[in-house]
Amino acid sequence: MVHGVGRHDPLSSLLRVYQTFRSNLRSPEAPVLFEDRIPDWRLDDVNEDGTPPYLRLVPRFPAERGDVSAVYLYEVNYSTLAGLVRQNHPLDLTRLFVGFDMAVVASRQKLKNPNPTLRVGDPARLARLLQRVSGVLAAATVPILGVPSILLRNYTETFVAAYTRFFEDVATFALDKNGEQLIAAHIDRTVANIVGSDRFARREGSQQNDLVIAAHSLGSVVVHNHLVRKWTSADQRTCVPSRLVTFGSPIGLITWLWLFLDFPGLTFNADEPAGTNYFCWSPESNAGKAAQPLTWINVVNCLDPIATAFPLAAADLSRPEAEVSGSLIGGGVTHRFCGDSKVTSVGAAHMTYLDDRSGFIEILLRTADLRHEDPLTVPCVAPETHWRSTRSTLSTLFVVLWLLAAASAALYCALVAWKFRDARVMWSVAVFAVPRATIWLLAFWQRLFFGGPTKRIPDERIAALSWFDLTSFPYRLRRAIGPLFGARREVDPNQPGRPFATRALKVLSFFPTVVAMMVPIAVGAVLAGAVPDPRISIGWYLAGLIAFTLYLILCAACELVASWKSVLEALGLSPESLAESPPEFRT
Amino acid sequence: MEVTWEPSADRLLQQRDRFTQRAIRQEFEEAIEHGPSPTLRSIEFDTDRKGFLTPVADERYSVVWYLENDAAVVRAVVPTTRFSAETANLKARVQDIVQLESHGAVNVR
Repeated sequence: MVHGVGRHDPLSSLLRVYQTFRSNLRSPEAPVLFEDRIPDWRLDDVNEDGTPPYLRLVPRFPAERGDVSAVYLYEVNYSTLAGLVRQNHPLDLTRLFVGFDMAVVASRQKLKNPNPTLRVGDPARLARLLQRVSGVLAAATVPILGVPSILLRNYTETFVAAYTRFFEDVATFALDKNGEQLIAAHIDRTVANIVGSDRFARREGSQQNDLVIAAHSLGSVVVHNHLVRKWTSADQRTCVPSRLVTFGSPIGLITWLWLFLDFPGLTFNADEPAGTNYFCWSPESNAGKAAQPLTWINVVNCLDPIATAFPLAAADLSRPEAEVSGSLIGGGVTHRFCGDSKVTSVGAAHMTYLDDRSGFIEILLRTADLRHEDPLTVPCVAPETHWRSTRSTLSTLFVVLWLLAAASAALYCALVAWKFRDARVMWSVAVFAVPRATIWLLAFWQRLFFGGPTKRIPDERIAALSWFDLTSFPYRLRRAIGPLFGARREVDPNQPGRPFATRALKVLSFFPTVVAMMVPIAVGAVLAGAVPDPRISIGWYLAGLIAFTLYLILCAACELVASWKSVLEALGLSPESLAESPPEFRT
Repeated sequence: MEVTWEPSADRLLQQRDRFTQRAIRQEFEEAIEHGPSPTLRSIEFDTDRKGFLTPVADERYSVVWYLENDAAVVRAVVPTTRFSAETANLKARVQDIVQLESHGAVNVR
């Protein structure tokens, strides 16, 4: 089991997987036998000192010839490693997001006559939607990482830590060559230790031992990277799993993103020079080489914002589809859809795979031979139902979030109206009624304040951006006026960052928000004909700041949900498109 | 079809919690309501004495029973469904597993 982003304790994560096989971890009571999904297996060994640590399960009754006689359960996560890499070299998330936004706009404006290796949706439309999402990320750093977060850090620390850790881990593997190499070497060594151990080498009769990997979230990207490197390797075939289960996997999303940002026309080309690429990955070609066959099941939870089904080509971009198909037992990756489509699942869907005992866990147990039925016969949600319910729930969620955002803005305006003793101040709520406009304005200022050249986006690339694009306009404007305020035209990679300037910019980047917060006050002042006395209790300021911060976060959430829904439409996953012609990668 | 749970089967059942007991009893009685049938996934392990295995409780347990005078007589319940009709000596395997599970107290011979 390879885990994704976040903090993990190796032993705890290993035991958690085992415990989910035996009990319902969401129950508040200690488990009973009924919850045990594998009563015919007994725990034979717990080896905390193994490299990696493992649990050994053996059948309770003598196995028949050809049956599995033992299952070793290992856990791998690179979280500690990634955490240390980032601890030694912290990244500034605001710059990361604005840099990403700049890379997206640069690639979007260069996108002409695409011939995508991944045939999914209209690339130009998907690029516009990606830009919308990158704008939300850039804008969201104002309330989440900026002044409100600093002032309210006692209450928001955990949330902010989870938020930053998620993106830091992604950046560690996708953008930081050191991080990628350390993590790749770590997983290679772990797999080599497992398949090179006496336990794995020991065979009974003609029985062959199988390596089964289950990988979650970014862990699946790490495993995918491992697979592509070893799949056609002549001397490291044993390191290729015979069965792979990916769950909550962003492979489709990240592969498309890589193609979009680093390959002209979204066409994969292993010979393309990678020196100025956005991603730190080095493309290599496996075309024409014999590959170790494997079974690959990809599980997608309903409303998991990161997980997708993906086209066959994403399994190995460097090989023709026919070759990839030939290396996959069954001819392709089998996608399975699980999980609830409740509104409350949206925030949790990515982290609840291990709680889905009759769906995902059953697939996992069967794939690992802990249950002897076929994993593909586990009842799952039909793809059409999955996409339909996803869209429907997102529509509901958008309305709920919009209402909450409006309520937060109304609460803020009500606080101001109360001070003025004039209910007409509430009219100013109308100014805050369009989350998209709020986010665009926030993103505009972030782009203006932080949108200078980066290690990946040189000044020439910014100079080539269009003035007549609402996204690139602030970047061009900054380039034109930035030098007047001391902005540099080139990054010096040998110099340390400028923490004081960055902090000052972060404080300054809250200024547009302060202006927005002044709108109801200005309305009140005009209506009352007087400016209110600023000497009020600190509680009023705090309440106002919390209400407005909440409003901004809800606007960002609204925009993400709206973009997500639009992406489904762009991918041909709307009910109308599904009825006409279902896309190949959808099932 | 009438079902008789022999004391040996009852004893094995009582080693489980009440949820498991209920699931096994109910599912089994529903499964063989109309007699053993291949569509209900019962496996005949003893053709001479009409002995059957029926998987129950989400395919986690097998009920070991005999068809006697048009009634089902349940002899044992074991926590595995790893039985295949193609196994060369299925009867011996069932006997071994029942013996192991009951610590030698139950014999389906």
